Amino acid sequence: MTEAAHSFVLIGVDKSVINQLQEVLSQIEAPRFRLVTVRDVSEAQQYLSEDLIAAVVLSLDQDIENETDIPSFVQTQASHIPVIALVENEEDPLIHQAFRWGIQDYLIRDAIGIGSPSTVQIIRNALDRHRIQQKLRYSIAQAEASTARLLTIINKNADGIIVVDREGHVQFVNPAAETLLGRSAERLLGQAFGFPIIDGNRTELDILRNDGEIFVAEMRVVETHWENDLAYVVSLRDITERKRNQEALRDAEAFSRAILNSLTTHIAVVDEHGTIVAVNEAWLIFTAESGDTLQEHTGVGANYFEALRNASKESMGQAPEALQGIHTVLNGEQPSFELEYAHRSPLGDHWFLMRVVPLQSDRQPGLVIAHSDITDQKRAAKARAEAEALRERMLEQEREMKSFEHFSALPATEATVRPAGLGSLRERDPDAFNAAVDNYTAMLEKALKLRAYKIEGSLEPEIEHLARMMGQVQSSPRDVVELHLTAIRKQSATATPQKLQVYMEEGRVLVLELMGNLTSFYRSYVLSAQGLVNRGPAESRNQSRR
Amino acid sequence: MSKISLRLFIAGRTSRSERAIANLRRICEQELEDYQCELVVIDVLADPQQAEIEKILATPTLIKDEPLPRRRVIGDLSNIADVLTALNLPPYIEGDLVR
Repeated sequence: MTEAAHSFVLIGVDKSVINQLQEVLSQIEAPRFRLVTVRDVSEAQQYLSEDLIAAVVLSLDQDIENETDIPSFVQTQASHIPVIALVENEEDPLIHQAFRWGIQDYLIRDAIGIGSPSTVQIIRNALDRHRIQQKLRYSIAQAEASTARLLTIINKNADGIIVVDREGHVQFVNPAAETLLGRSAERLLGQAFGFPIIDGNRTELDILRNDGEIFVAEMRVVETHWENDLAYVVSLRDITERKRNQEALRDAEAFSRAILNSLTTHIAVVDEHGTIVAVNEAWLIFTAESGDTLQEHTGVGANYFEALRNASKESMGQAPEALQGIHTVLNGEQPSFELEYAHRSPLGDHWFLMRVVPLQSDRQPGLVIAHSDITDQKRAAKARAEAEALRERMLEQEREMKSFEHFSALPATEATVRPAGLGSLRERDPDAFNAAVDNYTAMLEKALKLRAYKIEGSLEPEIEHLARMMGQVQSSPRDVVELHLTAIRKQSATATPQKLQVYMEEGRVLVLELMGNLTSFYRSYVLSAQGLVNRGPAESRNQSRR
Repeated sequence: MSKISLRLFIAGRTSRSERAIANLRRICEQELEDYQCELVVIDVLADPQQAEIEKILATPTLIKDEPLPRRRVIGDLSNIADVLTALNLPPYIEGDLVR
């Protein structure tokens, strides 16, 4: 297949030279050339758009000095084609001028011919040189485009970019750096920024803007080359807003923490796997006092579920129940879980209320576990229950005494003699009744002491004395019961429930013994009336009234 | 013994400033203990004129005034080796056998 011919456009070349060129170019085997002859550059332009133009041979003579379109033709229209000038001789001053326009080489009119090997060489060199120049131009254009693109990226970058030399002087700033520093590139270029030092990837700086405002920036540094010397690219990112947000968050966290720490309830936040992620101070103090001084099992990072699984029955017997309840909240089966449990520790037995609620967080599922010490409430509730039980027993005893009184009010027999037709002692003889109450109260006190201090002792003399005293004022069993109830009521105003209970238990015995003694007293009275026993004046008085 | 004059520019008493001061004190006490080390801390909020004279763009900035040549570094002073290299410290003095 024959290769298409490349054109040589000959401008203003005379016929003899055309013929010589024709002969010279025919010596070149490939590519093949054809010659196109035109009168001037304006005529040549129609051929310049053709793909296969090998070169232009432009004849120069002194007349062209006045033709301004020739330089423009070489520099612009034919800039993509090698142009070879045709001159009269080596000394032709037009040669230098033509090189300034951009010609590749020149041929001397009279030296063209087959016998001149330099003609072929000159043409070949011109073509090669032009090809290389074109490649170079292309590469430069590419590099310039690439640089332009890079500059666009740097200039459009939101981060401030500064290039400093090895002395720390500013060599380049992008618009973002101008904005961040509040100064124009004109003012910044050449100014001392400082040799940038970071430890790790980045560091924080306070940027002093020209208007007096201070911004916080994150600085990163990379080594580079700038104008054939070592330089550093410093990128500055405005993190003022981020820092403000972080500070606000820290303040909010500190606020929440302060509130949490002000509570006496022991609080822990755990994640869905049971890992403790936060605790308050009350929790720390309590767990330390309970033996986990190093927070190994109950501190942040420890697994609370694991701690519950390992909890001994001694310290928390309801741990399995607690664990189950926690999982029901975690699984969303119930909105909260509460459990009262007893806790044994070196500090003594305590009662706690454990309350578990879900953690209201978008970031991670978890639970808030709060333990409140309810020992005081439990004790108060127990005391209330005991007082209530005691009151019930008092009422019961009262009912019991009253039935006893009813029994003792049955018609007199020899053993249960009693004076008839008399009212209660309290109404009849208040002084005697009050004296008896005082006596009885003193006996209760003594009974309490004997029991409390476990002392050997007897109340028998006091009981006999009181029975005699009451017998002498003709007291009935009803009076004994009333005496007991009055004394107990009086004591209940000030005594603790425990004391009151002892009063009631001891009083129960005292009443029976007092009744027995009173009965003995009256029995003695009956016997003495029959002349078997000599009794005192009261008995005589009783006898005279019968 | 040669004298070393340093000026540290900070902006208020922030954690960054405190860290820079602490690092610089450590450098003076541990790395430059054999030299007479004069350290001046300038708070640009309290003394903006000094910052204006030195055209301080950001803090912490550390300037070594003596011995010449003057040097200026900016950033994290916790990287002691880099700080000393950048400031050309300790100064090399011919015949000085201290270092």
